Amino acid sequence: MGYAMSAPTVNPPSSSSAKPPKRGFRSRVVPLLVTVGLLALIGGYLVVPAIWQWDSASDYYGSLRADTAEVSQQITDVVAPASPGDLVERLRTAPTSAQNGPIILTYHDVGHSSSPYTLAPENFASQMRLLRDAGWTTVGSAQIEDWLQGKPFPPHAVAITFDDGARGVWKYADPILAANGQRAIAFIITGFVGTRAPYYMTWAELAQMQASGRWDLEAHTHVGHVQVPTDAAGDQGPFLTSREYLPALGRAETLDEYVNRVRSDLAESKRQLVAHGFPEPRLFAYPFSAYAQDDTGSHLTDIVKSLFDAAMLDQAGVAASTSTADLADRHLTRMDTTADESLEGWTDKLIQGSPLDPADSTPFSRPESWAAPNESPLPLTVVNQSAVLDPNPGEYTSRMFAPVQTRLWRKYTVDADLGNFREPDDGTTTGLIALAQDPQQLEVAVGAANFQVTEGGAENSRMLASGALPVQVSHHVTIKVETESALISVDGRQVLSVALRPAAGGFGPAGGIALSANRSHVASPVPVVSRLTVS
Amino acid sequence: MIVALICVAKALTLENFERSPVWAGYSIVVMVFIFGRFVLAWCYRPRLPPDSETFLPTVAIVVPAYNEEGAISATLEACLGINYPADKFQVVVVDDCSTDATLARIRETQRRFPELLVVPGRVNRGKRHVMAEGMKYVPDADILVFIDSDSLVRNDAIRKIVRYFADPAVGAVCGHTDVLNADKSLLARMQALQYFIAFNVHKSAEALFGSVTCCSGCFSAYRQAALSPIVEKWVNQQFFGQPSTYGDDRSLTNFLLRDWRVLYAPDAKALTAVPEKLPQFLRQQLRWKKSWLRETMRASRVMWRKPPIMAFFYYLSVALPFFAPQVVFHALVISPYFLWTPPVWYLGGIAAIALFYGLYYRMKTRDPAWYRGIFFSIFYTVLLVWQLPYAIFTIRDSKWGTR
Repeated sequence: MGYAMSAPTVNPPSSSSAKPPKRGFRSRVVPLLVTVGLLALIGGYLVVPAIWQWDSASDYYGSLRADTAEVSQQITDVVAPASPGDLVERLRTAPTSAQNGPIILTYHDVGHSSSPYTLAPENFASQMRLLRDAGWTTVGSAQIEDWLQGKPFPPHAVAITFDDGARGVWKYADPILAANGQRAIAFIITGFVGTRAPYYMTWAELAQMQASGRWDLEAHTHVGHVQVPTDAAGDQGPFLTSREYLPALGRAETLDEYVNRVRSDLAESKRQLVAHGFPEPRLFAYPFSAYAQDDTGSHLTDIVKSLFDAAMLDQAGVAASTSTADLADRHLTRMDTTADESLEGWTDKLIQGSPLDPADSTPFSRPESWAAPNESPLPLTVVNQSAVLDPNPGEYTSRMFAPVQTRLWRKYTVDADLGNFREPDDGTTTGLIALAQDPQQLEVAVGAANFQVTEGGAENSRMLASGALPVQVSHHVTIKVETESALISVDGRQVLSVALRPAAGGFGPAGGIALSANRSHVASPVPVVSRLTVS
Repeated sequence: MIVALICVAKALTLENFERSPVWAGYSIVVMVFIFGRFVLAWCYRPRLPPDSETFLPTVAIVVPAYNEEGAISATLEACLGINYPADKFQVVVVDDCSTDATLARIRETQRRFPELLVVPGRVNRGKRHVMAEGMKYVPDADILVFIDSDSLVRNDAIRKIVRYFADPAVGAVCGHTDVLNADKSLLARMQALQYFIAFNVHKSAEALFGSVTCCSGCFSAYRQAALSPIVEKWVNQQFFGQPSTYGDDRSLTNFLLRDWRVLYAPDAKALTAVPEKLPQFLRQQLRWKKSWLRETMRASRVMWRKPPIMAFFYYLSVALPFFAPQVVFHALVISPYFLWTPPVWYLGGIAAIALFYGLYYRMKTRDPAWYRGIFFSIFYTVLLVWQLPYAIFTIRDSKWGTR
């Protein structure tokens, strides 16, 4: 006990009893006022700064958040001029096939800007109106997922994709799509949502897009859409494909650190979308289309494959399509659309990227569609329904038919008369190729009196069969590609049945057709291919 | 220490500074305040005058006693067992009209130690009056030592503490007090740590400038010449028209601070009992807060005369507790609400500082149960911070707050 802990009954200075009533009244009111004053003082001391704190915090964090709640006005009165009739007709009759890959167009922003990645609203509206007028379908993530599972796209189907999540997507593109009854996919940089106002869309705008049913929101990194330093000198490289230089440690990050950084960013982009109430993204788009460089390549691909069903690449300038090599890494190729393209050029590219059906392909009627092995256009010389190949003496040459439009052919029969031989050992061989550029590419080369079947491209080819033939000016070669095998006949006689192995990733083997030719000396006859049909 | 430094370094990234300069600045100031006092304390190496070992002034111990039947005998026996020349030493105990057996216990002790001077109270008057009453019986003592009725003083403590008075500028010296009953409860253990830091660090830091702001009532020594001019004012000190009852020690120190050097004697040691249960503890803390509030108003008027570092630390020690409720509000409400993250840094920082205190305590005292004491920091944050507004509200109330 003691002073420290108990209460001495200190006698208060004499008070109450002897005082007159008036003073009693006063002695009650004054302390009451003091009490009220003290209460106000303490209340103020506690509450006023607390309110100030709360206000300034909600101002500060609100300024970060206000954007995410804001929904900007949409521009709904963008008028597209009537689609040019010839373009409508060309698009309406563009090739299409069940043996197809996805036709995917990449956009970034719509609006009024000098950036090549920002389309004028009228241009975008014209493109979309043209698609509608030509009877094309726009497809979303679900159809891409279905396609990955083996279900073909409907005829004349295109996926419209927007990268980054720029405001113009909401402001201009969404009303235009709505007006045409179309849909699209937006790849969102989740960490940038609502930032750099008014550049990026807000979560609220994304939510409205999702609710409209027109949009699929997919991942485009969390904050990985940036360049990172790659060395002490300040050189920079894309976030996803570069080993970041760590100035504090004076070194580049280790492979583990790299994998960690990239994986957590991509996982976070998924988490962010889910946390904001969107369906879990299953598709991904590589920023800058940067997907593989030096030793980070396969790691990045593995990370992306572990988190997403497929990842988008980007091809600028020319028509492009997905190949079996892309699909082995679960990559899908897209065609970039830029502001400087004319509607006609855009239509051309779309048509050039449209899959041909084997039965409708009539290769010799499209000599301009043929290309060199590196895919650069190289028209075929067709004379009197026959293709004339003219390698220099001692050289081998080959021509591919419309590689962009035939890459994913998996089931077809090609046959042709290969020839213009003079006599055995005249030094000329003429070849027919199926599954062009696939690892299991098949080439049947014939001479006047012999044939040879090889598998694979130039680098790792393997001879499957060879044999003698009766001497003829030409030989009729048929390659029938089925899902699990290919049958090879020469002059009506089956010479080989090749078992086809499923390709890595489950796609393929697949590929179009090509012709090859070889002349060993000046006197060798000119190789000629005639009666080429595909069905 | 390393943990603490990492926490500080992380918390003070440049980004933080740009985003909230106020809070970043605050955390720097707090760090300077907390660690600065350790530095100042480390610098405090009292240099005693050469004649201090032979300096033997007359000393009187005054023990005010009220309802302390359980502890008073031990307290007095400790005083009477002190090693000091008998002709220069006197122990006075003043009973404040205790309602229990305190006086009987005192008489028992007196039978065994006839030299004990007992002053029985006629009427209950309060601690200050009793202390002043005791002083009247030893007018010849050069040095007056006040010891609480539940404090045990070590037998070499008087020899140690009087040495500081060899410097004629020294008016008062605060002895070191440890907690007697630390083993009794977690609360008592926490106080043991708090006491140790308060004395060994905070008072050392203040003593470096001869400006200890509170000579603990548990065990402190005063120069009679410094006390006699002001004792009347001290006894009759009033607040809002009512006599000041508690806070006698801080108040008395305040009367001396302007003209005298006030030191801390880490080597003169006593033990004291602290509240073991929460209600008593909270009431004690409330009284301390109130007397701190009252006396701070007075002390603030003289502290600016002290060396700048002392003044800086002193005014900081006044200002920070007032900010504390807002800081806690910010860390535990504002940040979690707006940032949607738990207050990891704040609690981590508190834990780091608590650990730092704990390790320092462990290093100096070798107390194996040191870790139990470190909960004090959390305890302080959650509970004690909010006592200050209540203390302001009830500041006029001079009751001891038991009933």
